[in-house]
Amino acid sequence: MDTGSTNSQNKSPLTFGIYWRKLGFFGSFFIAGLIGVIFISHFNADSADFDYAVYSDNPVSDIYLSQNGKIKIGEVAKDKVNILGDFDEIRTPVIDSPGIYMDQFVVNLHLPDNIDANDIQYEILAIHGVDSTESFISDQRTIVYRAYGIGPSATISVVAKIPKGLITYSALDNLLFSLRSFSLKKWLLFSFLIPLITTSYLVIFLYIKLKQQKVEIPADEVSSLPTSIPPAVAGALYRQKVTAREIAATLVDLAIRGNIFILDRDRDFAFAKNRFDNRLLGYEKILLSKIFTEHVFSNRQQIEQRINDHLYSRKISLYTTGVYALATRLGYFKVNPQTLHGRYRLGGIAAFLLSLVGFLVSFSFSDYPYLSFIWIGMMASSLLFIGLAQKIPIRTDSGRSVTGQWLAFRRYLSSKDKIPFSYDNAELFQRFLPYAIVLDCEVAWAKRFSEQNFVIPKWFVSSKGGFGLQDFCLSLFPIVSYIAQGLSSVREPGFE
Amino acid sequence: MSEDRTFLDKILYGSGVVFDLAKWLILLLIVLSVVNTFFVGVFVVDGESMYPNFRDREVVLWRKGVYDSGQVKPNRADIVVVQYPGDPKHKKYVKRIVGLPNESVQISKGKVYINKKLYSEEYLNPSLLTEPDGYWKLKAGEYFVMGDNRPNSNDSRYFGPIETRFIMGKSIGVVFPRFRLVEDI
Repeated sequence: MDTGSTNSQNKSPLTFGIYWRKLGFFGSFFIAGLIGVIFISHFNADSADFDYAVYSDNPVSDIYLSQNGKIKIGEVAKDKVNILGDFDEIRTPVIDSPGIYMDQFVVNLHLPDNIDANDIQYEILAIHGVDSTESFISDQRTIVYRAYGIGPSATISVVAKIPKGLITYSALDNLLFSLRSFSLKKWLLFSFLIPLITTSYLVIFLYIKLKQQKVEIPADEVSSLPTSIPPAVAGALYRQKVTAREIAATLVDLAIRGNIFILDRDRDFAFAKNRFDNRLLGYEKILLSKIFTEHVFSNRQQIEQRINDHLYSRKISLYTTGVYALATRLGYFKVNPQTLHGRYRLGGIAAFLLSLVGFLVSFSFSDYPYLSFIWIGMMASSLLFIGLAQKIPIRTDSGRSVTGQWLAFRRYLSSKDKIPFSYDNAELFQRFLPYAIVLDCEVAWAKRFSEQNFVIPKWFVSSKGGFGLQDFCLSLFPIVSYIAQGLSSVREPGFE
Repeated sequence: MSEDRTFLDKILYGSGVVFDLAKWLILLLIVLSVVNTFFVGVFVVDGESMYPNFRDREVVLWRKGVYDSGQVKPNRADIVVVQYPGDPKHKKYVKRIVGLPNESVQISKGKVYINKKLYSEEYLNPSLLTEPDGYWKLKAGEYFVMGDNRPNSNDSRYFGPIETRFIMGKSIGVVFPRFRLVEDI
């Protein structure tokens, strides 16, 4: 975390653009993931863990098949008949590595009354040290499997293929068999439908909410600031979010108010402190402290290092919190958007993690290999929920009314009518520029002044000569946008 | 900031951090799990049944479900991963396909005959003998598989031909400790 106490200017200069903390962090994640995947994905060919055999000291074992497909070994229900497309099947190991030598081992398969042993295909499979085997029908309801000379490592299995229709399965068994028979296309369709339904529900819900809380825009343009609020708060009200644009607008606003200089140098830029202003808002002070350390000057490399050498920036999180808190305190939102977004995010993350658990568990159901696609669909739905839920309108009546006025002001800013020069509007362009940035219309606003003789603001210092309005915009906008995007990207989770 | 956080704030923050930091790892896990389940997997050879072509503890890459669609059929000499028909859930083997459906396989005096013709197995040590003698007539959809280390392999000679459903996939190559493709083996 960025504690603000690090003096980045004393650090050695960067090489190759590598930020070691991030590289170390994500590198260790990658290695951990790789090791994990290798561990979970491999299996040992030619060997297996085994936990199921009917072997006991008694060299004779009885397997009972019931009419509903359940298998009992002795008196204990052990398994079910495997339902296949062309036939039903018992395929079960009965001895695995007994650890002792046995002269012989006998398994009697007892069939239910409705199944004739002559209708069954049967065989005994034996490996790892068995002298010989045989299987035969002893009576109409019993098949005998016998092995001789069984070594300590032997594995013996019995197989019986039962024609279709002789076993009556429960509705659940039939349902599970139907599921198992689903093709990959059907599973993919289901997994695609889940996020599709989630998205449709959220879009309809959003549509209804937006209709209920519609923002009425006054018919006439508003040519002055509707309310005296900082640009960042106007931006938060406009889009219910604090984004990189609010950060960019705050920087330009601070420059216009004489707190900082923006220095445009050939292929480079820098920020410089101008004067201390005790009227600065809390979040503005925090933003300045992120850009500057104790020095009055911060160049591009120093700012980049301060941004990129941290996984998260606490200061930028606090900046966001400050903007939301002020907008909520002014009565524009029913609840603090940050808190609400956090709750949606928590719900979405919980659903995502549950789906992830389901996804991982689904791999243990080897009969339903495509089940995991359903959980991927659930995870996609959770992410959609996290993204879309943040767009649910939460403005108060007052907030909607003021938003309407800001939208009318935006209409004024983005009008195509040129503004003629007069002494009254000599500084109009820069006065409204931060608001044009948060209202996504800075280019349109600049175009309104294209017929005026442009004078570079005092807070923008450039090494280039002969600056016009277009040059000014082409220099300023990329600088503040670049820095704002960088700063915005290091906010802590939950502060977006 | 941390001092005035409520319990809910801490949960929101904590879960957010965990999710934010882990999301790429989770995505990687999901992608690799899907790839590993449906497309390509790795296994560690445990045993000498395919020696000298696959050695004990070597890590082998294999294509899963390559034969499931029915469009690609297992070919003779393919090295395949099969389920042991006696315990398909728990035991998997690496073997080589020797006999194809409807063929006859005979082992006599150390040699293998397919449809009564001597089958030359170039991947085997010429001095190696295949035992014990036996004769198998394969049905439709049945394959005869054997390990390359004939004296030390449990395969179709002992558990009989296997059905297509027990063939899980095809080996691509060894990835560790020395990389080599199956075609070069």
